[in-house]
Amino acid sequence: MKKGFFALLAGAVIITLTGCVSTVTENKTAGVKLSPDQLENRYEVSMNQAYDASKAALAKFGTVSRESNLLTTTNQVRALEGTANGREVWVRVEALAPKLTSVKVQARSKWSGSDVQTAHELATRIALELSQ
Amino acid sequence: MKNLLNLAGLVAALFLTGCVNTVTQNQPGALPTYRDRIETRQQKPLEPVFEASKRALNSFGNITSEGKVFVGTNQVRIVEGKINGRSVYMRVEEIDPQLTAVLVQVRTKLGGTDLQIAKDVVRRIATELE
Repeated sequence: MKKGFFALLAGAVIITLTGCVSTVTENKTAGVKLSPDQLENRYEVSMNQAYDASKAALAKFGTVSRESNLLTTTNQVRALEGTANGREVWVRVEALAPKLTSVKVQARSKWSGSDVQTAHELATRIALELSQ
Repeated sequence: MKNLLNLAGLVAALFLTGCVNTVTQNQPGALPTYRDRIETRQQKPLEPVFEASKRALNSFGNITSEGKVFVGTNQVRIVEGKINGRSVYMRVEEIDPQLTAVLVQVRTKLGGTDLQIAKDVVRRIATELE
């Protein structure tokens, strides 16, 4: 009885913990959502400036593997994906107003889940690119 | 015997949960054991085929994202969208300057596939290119 119960419990835990994690680029990636893996900064610049700075920062810190336009919302949204510091990184650049742009950065490792430290590092680099 | 069955159940749960590879990922991944995608090749450059793919998807449903993939040596464009509540993923890849491959993958919400929609989209791309 006990063995069966624990096997069922273990199965439920595995199904809950394995699976997909949503990315800021509106995609899914395999992983476990246990801790925060993203952060948002808002800048008083136009969307194109924020996007160019994000792309430059990611290209210098790691590699850009994909860029896309997301067309599901009324706001203009552009997304970047790549790798930095050996982690998978997603960046979402969203125009909130003509001179206000939100930049969300998410970083995850393949096995250990979130890596908010890398996200912070990239966010700092984006801010530095914007200040130049 | 029971333990073996429990273990098999757990392993099956591990394999069955998780994400399905889509053709719009950086690497399209291996084909699953069932068909969920159709490939067509067009003797046209990448850009006209990409534009035709977008028009084809827009004519049946709507585009949710479009972009470029920089992994690999071939130029790759991607389009994602929705048709009849199905998720549609398209990968437009330049094989050579005058030959372009289009992979169309359709998935339902519960992980199923809908090849009929994929076929319709492929046919529409060919029509748009004429």
